[in-house]
Amino acid sequence: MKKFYAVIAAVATVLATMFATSACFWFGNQPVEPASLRDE
Amino acid sequence: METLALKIADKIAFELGYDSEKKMIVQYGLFGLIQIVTILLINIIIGLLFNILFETLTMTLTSSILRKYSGGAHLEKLGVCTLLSVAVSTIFPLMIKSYYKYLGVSFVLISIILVFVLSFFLIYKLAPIDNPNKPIKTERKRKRMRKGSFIVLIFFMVVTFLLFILGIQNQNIFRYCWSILIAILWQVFSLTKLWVKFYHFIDFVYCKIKLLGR
Repeated sequence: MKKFYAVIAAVATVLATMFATSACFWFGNQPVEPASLRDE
Repeated sequence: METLALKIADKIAFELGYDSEKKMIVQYGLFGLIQIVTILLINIIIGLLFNILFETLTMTLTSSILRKYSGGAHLEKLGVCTLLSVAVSTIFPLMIKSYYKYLGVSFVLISIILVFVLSFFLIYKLAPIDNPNKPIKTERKRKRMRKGSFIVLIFFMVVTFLLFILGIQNQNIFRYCWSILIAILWQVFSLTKLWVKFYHFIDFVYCKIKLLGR
């Protein structure tokens, strides 16, 4: 089960990074971006 | 959707021993993923039901690819945002399906030219439009997003003209031209102040309806 969670976490992290390099979420509502992903 | 993303992120963080920052990144990614899957799934179901699947998907993907770079107005409420996304990518394809046959070749060509002239102008003047939840703080990123918006717009312009040329022989293809044009128009209008006010109004109406329902 840990492997399964690790795969989901990896997919979510890749997506979060892709969202971070975008102007905003491509679909739907834009939540507050985590501080560590901000392109300061 | 937010609660679901939070619950899954909590579980993952617990199982994998993530700290709060890592958990927030996973939650952020999951929230985006859930929204993408939900909107695409609803669009596919509605598209299949009304036989407008390709128009619906063309519209959704076109506007989201451009939105990645140009940004634009956002609705504050998640429910109304999902509802509007689905409504837009259902109503317009239904209109396209009903009326595209009655619009002549020259009208399609003039529309393509007008839409792209207006879109390049609005992108040049306004893009990128950021969100208070995700502000664009550096000039470097602003330039990157602006450049990306132009590249995406040029890409869709080429695709639309190719579809137009193919459509002269087979007018069914004009359906996809119209889907791209409407999606681009919707997206570039979302860069304007008028659209921000329009979205605020929709949010306001949604809140009022919700209050009345209680």
